[in-house]
Amino acid sequence: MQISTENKGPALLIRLCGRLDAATSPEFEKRALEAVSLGSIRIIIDLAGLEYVSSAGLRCFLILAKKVRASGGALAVCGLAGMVSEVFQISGFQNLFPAGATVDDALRLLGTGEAQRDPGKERQ
Amino acid sequence: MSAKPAPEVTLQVTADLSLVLLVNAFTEQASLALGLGSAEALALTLASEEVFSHACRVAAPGCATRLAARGKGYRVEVELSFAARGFDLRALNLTSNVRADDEESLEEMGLVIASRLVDRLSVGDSRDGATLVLAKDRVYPPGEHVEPVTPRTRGPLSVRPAVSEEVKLVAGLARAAGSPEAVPESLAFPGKVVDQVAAGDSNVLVAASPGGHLAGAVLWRWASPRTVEFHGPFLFSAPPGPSDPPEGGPGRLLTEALVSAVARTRAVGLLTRNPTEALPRESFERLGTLDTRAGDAWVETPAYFRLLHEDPGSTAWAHRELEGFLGREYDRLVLPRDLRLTSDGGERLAPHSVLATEFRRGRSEAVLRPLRAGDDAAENLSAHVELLANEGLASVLFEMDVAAAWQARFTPGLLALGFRPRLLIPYGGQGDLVVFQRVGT
Repeated sequence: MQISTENKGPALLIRLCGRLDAATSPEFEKRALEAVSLGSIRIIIDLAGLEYVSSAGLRCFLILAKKVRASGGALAVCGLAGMVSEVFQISGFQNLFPAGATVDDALRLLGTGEAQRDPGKERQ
Repeated sequence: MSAKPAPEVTLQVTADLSLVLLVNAFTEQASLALGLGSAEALALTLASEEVFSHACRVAAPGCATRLAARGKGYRVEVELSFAARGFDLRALNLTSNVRADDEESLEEMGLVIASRLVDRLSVGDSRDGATLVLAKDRVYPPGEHVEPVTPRTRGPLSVRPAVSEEVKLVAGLARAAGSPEAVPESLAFPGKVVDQVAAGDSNVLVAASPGGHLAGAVLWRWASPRTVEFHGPFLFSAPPGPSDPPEGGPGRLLTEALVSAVARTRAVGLLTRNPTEALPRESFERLGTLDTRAGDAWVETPAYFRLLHEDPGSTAWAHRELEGFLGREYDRLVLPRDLRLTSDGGERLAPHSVLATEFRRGRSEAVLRPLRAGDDAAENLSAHVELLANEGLASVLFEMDVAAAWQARFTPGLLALGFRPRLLIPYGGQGDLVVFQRVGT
């Protein structure tokens, strides 16, 4: 699994690619919680590149969400598709986090206002 | 029950979460090699990971685990066996859901996911441990509409097994010719029927002219180790009247060929739960009826049975509230059975029961099958019925195997919810199968 991070205005964007299973989720959890401890409390997780998530991965999202909420922040997800979307529905996790189709949607859901500064949107 | 042994791959590991990647790689590669597409293989892999991870949490350290993947062309099964007993599998119930604020519920989240990602799931307990079988079917394109054709070839009909293109044609013609209640939903995917025939899990006989025109067909498969269930006969041209199939007509020809073919197997009985008008009913015994939804109306559909070999007899276990029904049916059908009543001796039960649910949405029907007994049998049944009613399903069936005494524990709950015993199918399971039905909300 590949984990990449990027600052999106006041939010931290974490992109996950590949498979988040019982073997790979500890590494994701460790890196995400480190980011929170360094001050990132508005987090977007982009799942568009994720093809597989097991309950071990879902628990990481839950732990991360509790951590950022406890710090006064929020977590949103985007890019849910295929089996990952199905697993979110089965587990009821689609109701636990704000979910957008795109990163911009997720930014809006976090209320950062960052998406409104999208030049493409300003031209419309 | 299949005529052909399925290819099998096995893996033996200890229940240790550090081995989960090995388990995942095994399941995915075996699933692909045994015929699943990548999406179905991934779903089965995830289900297998969840069951293995659950076992790692609840089993004793070092518990031996065996995975066996079996391929049938149209389906792959992964059997996970653990040398440990007493797993609480209530999360496999359709009524289970995940509550993020409840740690116990989160512990069971993996099993909830596993149960919803597979097409079939069964549970077994033995002295050596517990076994879960997860099955996923290949995805097939739906069949196209087939117009019945007027025969241009003539000559006497003969009955023979269908070849693969004919199997697909039969699937389409049967859907066009049969009433929706009589046609199994599986025929909506003709390619799947071809693969089921190739795997030896289904059989198709056609009545054909020397020139190859198909006048009719009958399909059959094993419903249990000792009972064959058939669909049809379906007539594709010049159908006979409802009660008087002409001598030598395709309906009678097909039925006689079917009886002859199945009589050469180890099957004790031949069953149909969806008879067509072309079935010569006088050759069969009427078992009982089920109410079937046909549009806005209810149709009473009889089931028919024919004993093919001498019945060796068996023991049937029943709750006392089912004794009357079983006694009457065994007398009427002249079946040699030792009817034994189960009793409550105060012995300990697992706290939670488990039910498997099969949806037949085309018939607005669901079938419940018990996987495990438990103290909450009545409450669990009630929750399932409520959920299925909320899904808009008009009929719920419950299949109880009288060879398994533990299943009798569901009887009081079923009767209290308005289920009624409607059918007794000889050897429809490991032993006789009692089919209960509850209609309406």
